Amino acid sequence: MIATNNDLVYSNRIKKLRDKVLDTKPSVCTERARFYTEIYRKNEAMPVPIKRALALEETLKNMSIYIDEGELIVGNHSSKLNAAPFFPEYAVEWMLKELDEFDKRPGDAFYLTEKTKEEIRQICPFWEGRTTLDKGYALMPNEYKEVHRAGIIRAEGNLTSGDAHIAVNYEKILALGLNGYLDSVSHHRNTLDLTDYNDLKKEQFYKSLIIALKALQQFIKRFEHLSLERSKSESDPKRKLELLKISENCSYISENPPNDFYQGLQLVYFVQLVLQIESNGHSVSFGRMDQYLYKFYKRDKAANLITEAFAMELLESTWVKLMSVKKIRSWSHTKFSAGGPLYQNVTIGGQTTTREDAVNDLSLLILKSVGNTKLTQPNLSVRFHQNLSQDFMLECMKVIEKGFGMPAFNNDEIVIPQLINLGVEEDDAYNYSAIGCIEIAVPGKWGYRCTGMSFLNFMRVFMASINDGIDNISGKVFHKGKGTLNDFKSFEELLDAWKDQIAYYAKVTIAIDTAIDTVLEENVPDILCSTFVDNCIPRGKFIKEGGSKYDFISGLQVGIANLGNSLVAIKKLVFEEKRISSSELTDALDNDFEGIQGEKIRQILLNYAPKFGNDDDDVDLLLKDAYMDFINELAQYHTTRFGRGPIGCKYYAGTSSISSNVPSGAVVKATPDGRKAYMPLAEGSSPSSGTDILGPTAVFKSISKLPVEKILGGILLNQKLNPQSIKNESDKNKLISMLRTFFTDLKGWHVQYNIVSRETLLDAKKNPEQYRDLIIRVAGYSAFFNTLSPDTQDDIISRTEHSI
Amino acid sequence: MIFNIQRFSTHDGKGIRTNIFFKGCPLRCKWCNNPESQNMQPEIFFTPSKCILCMECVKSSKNNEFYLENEKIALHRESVKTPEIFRDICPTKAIEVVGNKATVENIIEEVIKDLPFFNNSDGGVTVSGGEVFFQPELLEALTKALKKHNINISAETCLDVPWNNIKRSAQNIDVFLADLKHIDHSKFKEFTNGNLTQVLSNFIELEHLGANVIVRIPVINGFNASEHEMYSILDFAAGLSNVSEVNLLPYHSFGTGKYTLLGRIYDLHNGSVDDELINNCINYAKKIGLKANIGG
Repeated sequence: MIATNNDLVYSNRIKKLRDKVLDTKPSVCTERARFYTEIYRKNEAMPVPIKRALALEETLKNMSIYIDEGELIVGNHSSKLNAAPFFPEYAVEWMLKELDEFDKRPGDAFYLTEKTKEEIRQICPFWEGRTTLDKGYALMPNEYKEVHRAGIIRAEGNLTSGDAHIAVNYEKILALGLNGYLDSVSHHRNTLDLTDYNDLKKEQFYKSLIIALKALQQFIKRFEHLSLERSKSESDPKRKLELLKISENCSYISENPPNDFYQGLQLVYFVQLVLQIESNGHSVSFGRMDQYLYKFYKRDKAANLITEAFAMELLESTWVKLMSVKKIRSWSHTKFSAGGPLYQNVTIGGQTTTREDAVNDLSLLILKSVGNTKLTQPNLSVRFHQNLSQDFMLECMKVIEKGFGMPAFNNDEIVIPQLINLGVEEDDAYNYSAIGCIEIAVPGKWGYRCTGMSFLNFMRVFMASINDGIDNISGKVFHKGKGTLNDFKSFEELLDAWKDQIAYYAKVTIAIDTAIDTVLEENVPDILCSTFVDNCIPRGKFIKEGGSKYDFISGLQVGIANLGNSLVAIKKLVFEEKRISSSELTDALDNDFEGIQGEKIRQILLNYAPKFGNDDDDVDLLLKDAYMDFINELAQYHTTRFGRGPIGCKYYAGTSSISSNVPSGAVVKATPDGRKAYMPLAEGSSPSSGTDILGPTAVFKSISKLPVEKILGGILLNQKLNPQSIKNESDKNKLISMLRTFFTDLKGWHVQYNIVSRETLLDAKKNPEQYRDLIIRVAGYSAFFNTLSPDTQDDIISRTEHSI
Repeated sequence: MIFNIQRFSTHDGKGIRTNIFFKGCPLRCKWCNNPESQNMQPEIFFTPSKCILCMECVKSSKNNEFYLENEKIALHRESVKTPEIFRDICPTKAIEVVGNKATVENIIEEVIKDLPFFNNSDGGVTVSGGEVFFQPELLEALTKALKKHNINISAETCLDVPWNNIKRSAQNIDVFLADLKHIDHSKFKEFTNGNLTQVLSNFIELEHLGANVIVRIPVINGFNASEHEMYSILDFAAGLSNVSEVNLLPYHSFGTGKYTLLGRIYDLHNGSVDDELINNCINYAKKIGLKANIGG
């Protein structure tokens, strides 16, 4: 089954391209913004979909394109390598405000020329009052806007950039080709009755799709012509042939379904690229690439049309190209997504719809090529299942050993049954893939943001619930409480107060989401993205209008472990043992544990109460119940697509809260788990830093006690392993047997590894220039350590390191 | 009396294991890494660097066990009659009482938490110490209870105990990780205060039982770290029909800090051995038909 065990090292060509993308400082490109502004200005009267289709067309027609020396896969994101396009229709205020600060950021800096800055200053005024951010705030009810402003709920990323968190139907794109889609759109358009209100709206939908599809075709043809032209002046005969081949590929796939693996990969990349020119939503994912491209690879291989080495080189070329896709975020949003990730996920492994192990030769090539290029993109996920072979697991371990946090594992054994429970058809459930970090969806059939809606800061809510509803940062009462800690006669009263507060804030998150989704639906429909997601075309609806087959979404809850640890500390030390009185605790919290008395209280909280992550039911089950108080609230709400087509339209919970634990902690005062004010919260569902003292098996056990089946937005667990831990084969096998237990017996959701020693990280922080290549797992994604702000670097260094 | 239950131990026996450390040992090896494992009674670990001067310990000291001296907390160990009263009183855990009377039920409750990990990795439980056969009743009850859960059991032992102590639990133990520190009686006595005759006779008894024994040899400079001594030890191991594997455990000084915490003095110095000797021993062991590993 497995083709080879040789570790292929990338070619000189890949080395040059890789070096170039790593060495080029990020900047900003204004081309897209300029074209969009012109079209919007000239076509104010046009229906929104047409306006946006024309703007995309104008961009794809006129943006600068280039083919770099040695490139095998072509297509550029913006006018220059590593230049992030600017998307003014979402927000401009932050851009103007931060214009002179981008190069001074402590992490994720961008370097803009004065000319670029001037262009941005010219573009922005048109958009003031017209952006989704402006419209979002205008639509949001005042009370909820205040909660958002207070920072208890954060949804800035959703208002200031596109949606995404989606995989389109690449399988179908490869089968139909772009002409096939045009035929399908025309066919449906011809059935419309334009005397009907709904059909008139659909007419705009179909018209925009045709404009966008043709624009995509023309864009690909521009590369056909460019490479042909370049081939004429190319003196190296080998490169000349390559350029001719590229030209031929582009010519063919601009209209037809691809003929071979090379063309298939090029077409997939073009779609991936243009989706990220149309929208700057991140987590645009590939779905199960080893499945939909395999038939091309198998056919080429059988006919001796491709060598394994060339296939590897093509994949590596693609990964390097993905690195050049850049997104510029506001500084406050950047802190949630430290390291500039685009979260372009590739999923491999898993099972076929006939329940067999889906690993094939291409799975292995993808795994190895990602291990070779060792970049932060794509974000590689492996779907684990019981029958995944030991050989393949060992190959995964070899890549994990390289220490850049990939691959991460998702678990078929929990995901598939839960999807079926939700009402997902069985074949679709077996075809799920990871999206972005660790969240999951059925590629090509699911709407946006299977996770990635608003962020809810659990600890702000918890502190309000022991403080009579007063938010201790803003000083406001958003929802009257049930008393203070001093008032509670029993721990049950405290739990009631939490339940009451969290119910209110659950409602507010949904209300904020609803306002944002409405604004995005009305103002920034994604045309190409909807084209490639089932069943938008037959329904004549954009994804946001209810075009997708499935629609389940989730927000992110931050501070999971802190919640459990705080609850159990109060339960045990205040109510049961009475070692600390409620007024002593209140005083200590108010004073941020200052003074000897405060520090004494803090040490008792730290050392004499159980901590999540140590397989202790006292805290684990308390946390589960408190989390369920939130999750149960979700059941009564639905998304804006409810009743408009998709299956589901429901919310579930999610913990894939990326690097938000640092900025979320920065707005929370001292907490009863012994955490000092403004320090980071626990990351994802991982234990609080340094508190998981019984080793990885205990962590796995604790994690598996969470209501995993209700948190389909993902249960994010980062484990840091000492590099010594995985050196020899027997240690790797121990790690594999531990993973098998976690996934098969404990039905864990996900795990990923940082294999880098604490000493290395400390040294890298001190001497960044010597660690240009050092990649670490931040949350559900990997990032270059150097691009992170010092706060996030410290947070990662402080996570507990386990040894085998 | 036990002093620790350590989950996810991967170096004492096969697979993923939980180690249970018994407190109390007949030997006093000069290089001992776990000095807290030697006495049968609870003891106080005192880490002054963690102290925040909250005075809780002084308040609990009826006989001036803990007292303030030069603005620091000091411990007068001789005054401590019942360490128990200081358990869990120190907020920062600068004071910790090592050793507790765990029941078999308590231990089993902890152990079965990792049962699925044992099953998938061919792991299990390693009983360690101290000396596990120094507490034959507890060990017998514990190993019986573990066997009810079909858990694989390895026992680390110095074998310097009466054979009867071992016999009671021997049938429940899957693998003996038995120390053979020396075969020179006077050196053994000098460095461990033990009785080598008893150790060697227990090796023979285990051979008669046909027990699965892996011989463990600490290699300590100044004690047994010469080719001549090591080869004689290996020869003895090779002569046992039930032994096919030895683990060489080169000296390390990781445990020295704990002597300070106990207020004791570590008086073995320069115990380190060079790689060459270890490699020669491995080659020699192979020559005489033994499988040899460094570490366990």
